[in-house]
Amino acid sequence: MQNRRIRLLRTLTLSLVLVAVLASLAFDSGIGTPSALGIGEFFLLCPLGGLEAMIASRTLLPVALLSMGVVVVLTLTVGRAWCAWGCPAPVVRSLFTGKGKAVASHDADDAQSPLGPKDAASAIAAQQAHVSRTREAPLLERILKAAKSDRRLMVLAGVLVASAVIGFPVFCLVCPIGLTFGTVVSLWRLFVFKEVTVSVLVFPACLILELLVYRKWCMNLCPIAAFLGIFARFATRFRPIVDTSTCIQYTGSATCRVCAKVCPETIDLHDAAASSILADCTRCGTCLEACPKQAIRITRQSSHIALLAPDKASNISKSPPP
Amino acid sequence: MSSGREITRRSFMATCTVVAATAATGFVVAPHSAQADVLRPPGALAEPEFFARCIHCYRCISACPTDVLVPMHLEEGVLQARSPTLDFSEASCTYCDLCRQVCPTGCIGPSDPNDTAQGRIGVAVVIRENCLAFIDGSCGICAQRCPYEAISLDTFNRPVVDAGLCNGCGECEAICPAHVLRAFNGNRTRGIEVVTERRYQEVWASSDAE
Repeated sequence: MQNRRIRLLRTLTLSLVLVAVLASLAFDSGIGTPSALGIGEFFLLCPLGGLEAMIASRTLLPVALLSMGVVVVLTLTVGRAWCAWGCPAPVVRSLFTGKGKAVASHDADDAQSPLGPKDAASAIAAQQAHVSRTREAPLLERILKAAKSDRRLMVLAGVLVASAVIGFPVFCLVCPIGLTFGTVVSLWRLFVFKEVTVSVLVFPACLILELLVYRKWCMNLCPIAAFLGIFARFATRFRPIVDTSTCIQYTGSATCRVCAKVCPETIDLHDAAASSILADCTRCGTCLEACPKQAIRITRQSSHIALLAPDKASNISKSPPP
Repeated sequence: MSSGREITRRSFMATCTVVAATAATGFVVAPHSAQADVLRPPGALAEPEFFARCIHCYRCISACPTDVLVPMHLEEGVLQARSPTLDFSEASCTYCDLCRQVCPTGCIGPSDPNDTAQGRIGVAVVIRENCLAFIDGSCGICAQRCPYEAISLDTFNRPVVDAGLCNGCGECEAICPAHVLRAFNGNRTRGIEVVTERRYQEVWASSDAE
C-alpha cells in the first residue's frame, strides 16, 4: 500500500465515523458513537465499555460478549488499527499541535535503541533469532513478559478493579473518545435545540487537558490500547516491512532511524525485537511516508519480522500495491 | 527490547495510587448517583443497575423518533452526564421500543404502555399552583389529549390523573400551555408534570388514595 493512499484512507475512515454520528443525530437512526456503533440490533460495542458494564453490574451480557468477540477477531487480523483509523484522540491532538510536534512528543530517552548491524543478513538473522527464542520460551514466561511490556495493562486492570468497586463504568467518564463525541453531541444540541449547558465547555476542556497537557495519553495510559494490544501481538499481517535492498541503513554508509523517530508508538523496525514491538503498530503509515527511500511497505502477507531480504524484496516491492 | 513502555516500579506505584484514590472516591460518591431519582426510558432497569450498565453511547438518544430522550447535563450530576433522561417540554414518549432495541448493554427492559406495572416511565401529577384549570377553570386540554384516557375532569373541570392508568408518556406535559399563557413566574414547571415512580410514591400516592 502506498504512502499517500494510507493517509487518504485514514482520513476517509475517520471522517466516516464523524459523519455517521452526525447522521445518527440528524435522522434519528440510532447509529450511536464509537462507544457503541451500529444499525438497529447489530452493533460493535467498545470492548472496554462492555467489560466495565459487565463487571459493574455483575452480569454477563451475551450481546456485549458477542460484539466484543467481533472486535477481538478484527484485532487478530489488523492489530491496533483502530487507534490510527477510527480513534478521534490522535486527530484531536494533531488539531492542536500540528504535524511537527507529534515527533517532539518523544522524550530524549525514547527510541534510542542501539543502532544495530549495517548488514542486512545479520539484522534479519537477529530478528529471526528473537522470534525463535520467544516461541521456545515456556508459555507462562511468554505471558508474563507480554504483560510486563505494556504499562497500559495496569491502567486497564485498575479501571476494571475500580468499576467493580464503585459499581459503574469508571473510565467512560474520562475516555477521550467519549469526551470527543460528548462535545460533538453537546454542540449539536446547542445549535439544533438551543440547549445551553456547561457540558459544551467542560467536555472539550477535559479533552484538551488529557491529550495536550498530558501528551502521552495514547502511549502511556489508554486502556483500550492495552486491551487491543493483548490480541494485536498475533496480528502479523498488514505490518510495515522494510526492503533491505533500498533502506539506507543497509545499503548506505550512514545509519538511518527516521522510521523510528516518526513512529507515534516509537517502534524501531530495525530492532532485533521488532516482532514483539510490532504488537503496538497501529498501521498509521507514518513510517511509510517518512522513509527517505520509500523502502517500507505494508503488505497483506503474514510476516513475523520487519526486514525483507534483498532477494525476496524484489518480488514484493515491484508487485502492484494490494 | 525497549519500547519505553515497560512496567516500572514507579509506574506501578503511580497506577496503584490513582486506582486506590479513584476507587475510594467513587465508593463514597457513586452510591449517591446510583440512588438518584431520575426519569429513565420506559422499561429501564432500577437506577443502580441502569447506572452500572450505561456506557453513555448515545444510541438510545439518537434512535428516539420523538427526540424525547435527551442526555443529562453535567449540572445534573457529574457521574450521570451523557446518560439518557426524558424531557417532555416538546415531545412525548410513544413506547416504540426502539431505545430498548439499540441499547448495547441491556439497560432497558421490556415495557407495556397499557400495563402500569410493566416498566412505566413515571406518573403525571398536577401542579395546582400552575394549572390553568385550577386557577380560573380555563383549560382542560391534557384530559382531551391523553392517549391512555388516564386524565379526567372533575366537577369543576379540573384535571385528575388516574395513577392506575397513567404510564408517564408525557403527552400531557408536552401539551400543557400553563407557562405560556401566564406571566413567567421564574419556574419551568408546567401545570402538569411527569415524576418518577419513586417520587410519586413518596409525595403523592397517599393523598391520591383518598
